[in-house]
Formats: sequence, structure tokens, C-alpha cells
Amino acid sequence: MLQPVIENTYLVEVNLGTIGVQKRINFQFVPQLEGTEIYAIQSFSATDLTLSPNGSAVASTAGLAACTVTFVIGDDEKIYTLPLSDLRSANIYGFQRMFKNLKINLTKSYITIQTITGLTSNDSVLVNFIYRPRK
Amino acid sequence: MAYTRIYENIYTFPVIVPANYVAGSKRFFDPCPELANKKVVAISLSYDTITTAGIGALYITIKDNKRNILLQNYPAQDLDDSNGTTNFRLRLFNYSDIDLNNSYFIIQGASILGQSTIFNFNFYLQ
Repeated sequence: MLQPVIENTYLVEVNLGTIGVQKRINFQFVPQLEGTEIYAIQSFSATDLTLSPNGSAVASTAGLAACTVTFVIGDDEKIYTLPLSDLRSANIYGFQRMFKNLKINLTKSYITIQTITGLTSNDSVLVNFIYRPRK
Repeated sequence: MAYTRIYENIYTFPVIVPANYVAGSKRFFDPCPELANKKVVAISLSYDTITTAGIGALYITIKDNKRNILLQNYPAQDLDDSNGTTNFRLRLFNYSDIDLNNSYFIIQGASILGQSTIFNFNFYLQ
């Protein structure tokens, strides 16, 4: 499996708030990621990270497995209900999952709670975007 | 790693967290002239007295000489080469202008900090 040469990274924290089955949580606007080419994405669980950069609890490994993510390119849900666990390096032999230069519309992209197993209200999901700046 | 890579030089940079560090605050790194005009092709992190929980709450922001942010809140745990996991992969970079003195880290959770908590940055140079 290939590994990316990392140019820039931005760690996005998505707080799940009050949890509920089929709840959707949209990503916040991140100006640094606007128009950039995202070529690898990583997620983390509480087994990896004890506290988020804001000091919030991180979703457990089981909680991460209970969530999916949908990434919108333009207006299309190009990456639809991808299990967040599939982006966790510890689950894929330490690698970072690579993509082909995605220009993600982050505010239209969202995380879906498929089941509340392993999740607690106000857990945070951490997603690390590895990107190339816009030219 | 699938195969061994041979690097010209690995520079280890120790980081000491002062006893009066306030959890969640920015702590800037000391200057590191050894990195000047060097190409950094990989970075790892090994720890001395900081706890595993401390590494799990440690986030690193690295800037270049033009104050551009290269890594924003990068989880140190992902760079940790000493946690005994078989899943460790050396993260690859291609930086020639890291400004460590304007880069910083934060550690969350006061209870996981100890006095003079220390970890090491390993810069693989080319």
C-alpha cells in the first residue's frame, strides 16, 4: 500500500452533540480547506487519542464503528456512507487512506450516527485531512 | 515498514514541558538551527517521561519560514514510534523550511501532565 508524502494537514473536530440514531452532523466551514486537493484522510478513536484539541472526549473505537461519513464533491455525494472505522490508521495496518485529489464541499459533508452503540453524547470525532494547498 | 529506508542523518530534538505548563495552552518549541537548510523527509516522535495518555492528548502545529501552517493540530500519537504497536508507519514529508521556533504544541488534560514531561522529535534529514 502506498503512503502519502504529507504536504499540509488540518485536524477537524466534529462534536456529535446529543446522540441519536440516524442523526446527521455536518462539518463546519474550514477556510483553510476551501478549494484544496485532499489526498488522504484519517480518523482516530479514544484508543488513539485521549482528549481532543478542545479537551472533549473522543469517540471510542466501537463508537467510531457506529458512524459513517459522506463527503460531497460539488453537489454530489461522491463518497457515500463510508465507515469512519475504515479511515482509522490502526485498523488499516497504520496506513493513511488515500484519495484522488478530492475538492470536498465540507459544509455539505456530514457524519451519520448509524447506531448509538459505544457513543456518548458530546463525544468528538476527529478527522485529519491531508491536503495540497490551492494553486 | 515494508522495507528499511536509509537516511543520511536523523536529528533528535528533545522537548521539555515546564512544570507550570497550563493544559491546552500553546507551548512554542525552542529554536532548532540544526534544521536550517535541511530537507526533512520524515518525522517521528518518541517519548521519555510523558505518559501514553499524554501523547494521546498532544497536538502539534508546525509552520514554515513564511509562517504558513504545514501541520495544524497534528496528533502526536500518529507519529509515535515507541508505543510498541506493530502498526507504526513512518510518516513521510518533504519540508525544507520548517520554522520550529514559530511552531508549537498543546497538551490537553492537566491530570496527565507531570513535571518536566519530555518527549523527543526525530527529524529524518536528507
